[in-house]
Amino acid sequence: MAKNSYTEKEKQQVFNQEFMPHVNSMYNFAHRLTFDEDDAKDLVQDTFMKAFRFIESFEKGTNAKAWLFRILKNSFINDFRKKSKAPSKVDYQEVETYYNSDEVNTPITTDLRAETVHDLIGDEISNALNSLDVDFRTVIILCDLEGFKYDEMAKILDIPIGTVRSRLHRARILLKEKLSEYAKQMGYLR
Amino acid sequence: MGLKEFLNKIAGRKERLSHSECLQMLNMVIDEEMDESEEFKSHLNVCMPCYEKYKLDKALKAMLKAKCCRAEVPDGLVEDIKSKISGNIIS
Repeated sequence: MAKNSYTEKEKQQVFNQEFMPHVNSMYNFAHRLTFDEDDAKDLVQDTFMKAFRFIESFEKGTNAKAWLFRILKNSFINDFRKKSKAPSKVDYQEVETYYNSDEVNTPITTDLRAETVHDLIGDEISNALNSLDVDFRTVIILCDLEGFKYDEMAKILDIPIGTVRSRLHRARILLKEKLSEYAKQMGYLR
Repeated sequence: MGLKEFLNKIAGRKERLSHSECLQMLNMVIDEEMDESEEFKSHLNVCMPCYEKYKLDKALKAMLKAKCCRAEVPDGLVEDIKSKISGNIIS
């Protein structure tokens, strides 16, 4: 990657003006990955330290948020996920073949309807999201909560755009299945 | 005349999006990765399952954004980061 040469003052400026405004989104992402306040804090701090250390790889005015999310995601995989007792795994082959299978043509996989979704409160949606496997959870967070485009997600996650699409597709099906379960428990659905 | 042919006739279009093409496009339209084409809109007008899925997925996306409220950044985190960075510069 091309190196940019910044003076100490410029580094500080880039850091404060382009990186720090994303601290809320970063913390939210870290919290949804780790489910722990202290771990999320460590992960965010660690990400900002790395961003500062490698600031010369960052070109001023480019997509700082995507760059920071990529560092955070890599730190999570390398440092935090290893600590986890039961690291979750996605069967990627299954995901890849899924999108090309007939299942994609099934219009509604659950009996959940838009009207029912409106009846759900935030906790149920948040819990359903948190119940997803980390790889599926991540694509929903990046796309629906943070508004990243597919090409940005591909760069953040180091996966092809086709995989972003298939993983998102599968994640939404799983999310709807979970919400459908909640809706049934609460009597919104029979 | 079958229902599909009838609907095609009243919609006045010969070239129509197939059901599976529409489903493939749904996510991309909802995520604003592509515009809603006329073909897409006219398929939704005549295809209830696709229309229901579109409404549901759109509602879900909006609800996720609105209801998955952001975790509060803990007090002192921003200050900690800034002081570590300043320390880096001095050292």
